[in-house]
Amino acid sequence: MTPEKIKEKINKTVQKITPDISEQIILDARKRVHQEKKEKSRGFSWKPVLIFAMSCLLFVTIIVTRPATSVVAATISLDINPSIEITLDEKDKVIEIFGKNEEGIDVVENLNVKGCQVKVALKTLIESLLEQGYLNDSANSILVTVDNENITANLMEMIEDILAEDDFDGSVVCQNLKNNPDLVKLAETYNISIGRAQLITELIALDSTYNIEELAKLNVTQLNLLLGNSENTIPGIQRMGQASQKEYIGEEKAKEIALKSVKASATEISDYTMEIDYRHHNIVYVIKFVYNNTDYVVMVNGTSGVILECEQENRQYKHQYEHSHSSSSNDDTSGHNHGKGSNSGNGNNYGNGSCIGQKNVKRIVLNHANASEYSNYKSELCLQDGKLVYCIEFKANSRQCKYVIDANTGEILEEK
Amino acid sequence: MTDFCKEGIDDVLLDECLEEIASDNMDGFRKLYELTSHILYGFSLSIVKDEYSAQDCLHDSYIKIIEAAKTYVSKSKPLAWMLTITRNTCLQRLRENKKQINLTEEQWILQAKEEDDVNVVDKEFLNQCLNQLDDKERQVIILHSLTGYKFKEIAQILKLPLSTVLSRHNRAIKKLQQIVKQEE
Repeated sequence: MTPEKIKEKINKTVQKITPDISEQIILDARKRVHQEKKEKSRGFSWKPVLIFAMSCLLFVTIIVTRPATSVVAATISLDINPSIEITLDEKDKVIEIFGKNEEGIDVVENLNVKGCQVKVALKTLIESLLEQGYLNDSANSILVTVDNENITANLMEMIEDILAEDDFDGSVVCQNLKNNPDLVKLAETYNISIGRAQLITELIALDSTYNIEELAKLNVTQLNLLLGNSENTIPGIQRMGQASQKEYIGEEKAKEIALKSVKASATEISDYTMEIDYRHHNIVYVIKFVYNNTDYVVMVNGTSGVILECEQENRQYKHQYEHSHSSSSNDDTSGHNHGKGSNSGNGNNYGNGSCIGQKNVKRIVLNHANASEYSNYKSELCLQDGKLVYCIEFKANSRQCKYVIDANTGEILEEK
Repeated sequence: MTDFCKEGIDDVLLDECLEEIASDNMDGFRKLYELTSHILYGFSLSIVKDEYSAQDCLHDSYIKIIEAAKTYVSKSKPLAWMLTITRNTCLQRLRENKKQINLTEEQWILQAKEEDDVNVVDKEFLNQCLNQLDDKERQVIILHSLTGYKFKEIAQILKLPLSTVLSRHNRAIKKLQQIVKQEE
């Protein structure tokens, strides 16, 4: 049966079973109006007095009978966005649940979980987040920050169970809160939670080319995508599930675009790897492979599929070059480190007989062109007059830049 | 799908009905009820999953609509406004009852027998829709079947991203086709 027929069947059946209670509704609506008018017409009503008296009584009762204040044994912060904080007592029962931002306040408004066991509270909360669409196929990640490391493992397990029970393909990132007063300032400056501030700080510590203003704008699922990059492994962080890529073109499409750009087919390449990163204000796919004895690194915009950067190094050139130069050089010949976990040196050890590498050559040309923003970056290791050089082209400051750089010394040989 | 659904709901007509209700002309309400009651009822049913509760929600939603008609300002989306009221009424009821009621197959058949013009098989199919689909899939499929709304408009009513609504719709259709296949 076609989808249209199915819907028609649903429509017809619902039409048939819809009760006709229109007259009853009219009658009840009129009764309510009449009742309201009657109440208004009364000169004096005992109702407000009674309400006030009962409120006073209730207040006194609460004050007299309330138990001693519970001691907070752990605080759990959840970031989706919304941001929500839950405090627990020693028996893992919820003392309080707060919304830490506008959406968080909205979510917790109708949740009655005080006094519940943490698992019950988390289940209620997660189901509410799913119901309200904050957690969905595209935004599927939860960042959990805990100030008591004894409960971290348990918490991960609980959330994993809850997501499985709800048949939701979610991902959880769990970290322990560090005692760092700077995080509070950072969180306030960028209007993010302390948990996100900590995560971003740690990502920047791993890769200084990230910038805090940019990362603060990313949502939890995007940050989780960056954590999936093998070079962004932060000690102490636990992850479960995969961050959603539904907002992006996906690995297969990115691979197809990258291979097409160098006219290679999937069967002709080797040493293929793919990582997700954040560059040029976008989530990008960084695809590395070897084709025709050449190392390629192609960066594809995760949203548009446009190629942002392409670097290539012919292995034979490098091999011949390294043979004919110093035999002591055994570092940084990979060249395609692409700004992550690089062993390409600190930029001061050029001229030791090895190629300076793509990362260093990029730094040299971008500094020279005074380009903080650039696009269409292409870099190729070439032989020019028997000399191994990097030929580079990119667009920056509204002009096309071309450079030829000595692959051994980093010297700028030509510039246009 | 009925012609009514294919053409979509006439928002101008609904606005006129609401204007009449605002000036205490209950003929406007009767017209409004005739045009929209199956949509509001089906949507209620998709949230509370029980005919009796859905009827109560339908009743309470229309009472709220009548009361709010005086202050209603048309933004050319009267049905979306009515559906939001219905959704909030149903969610409030669920919170009060704490749980949804899953009717057994036998209960549905019994209820079906009480209504002369309803095909029991059709009603069983609706029962399957309500019970086999999850909450979100059910709401999307019911709204799409009854209102003829575009997915973008359904996404706005359910406060969900468009991509989520589309994936839930596709998932629901696959499940329903499976149910039909089994029945055949």
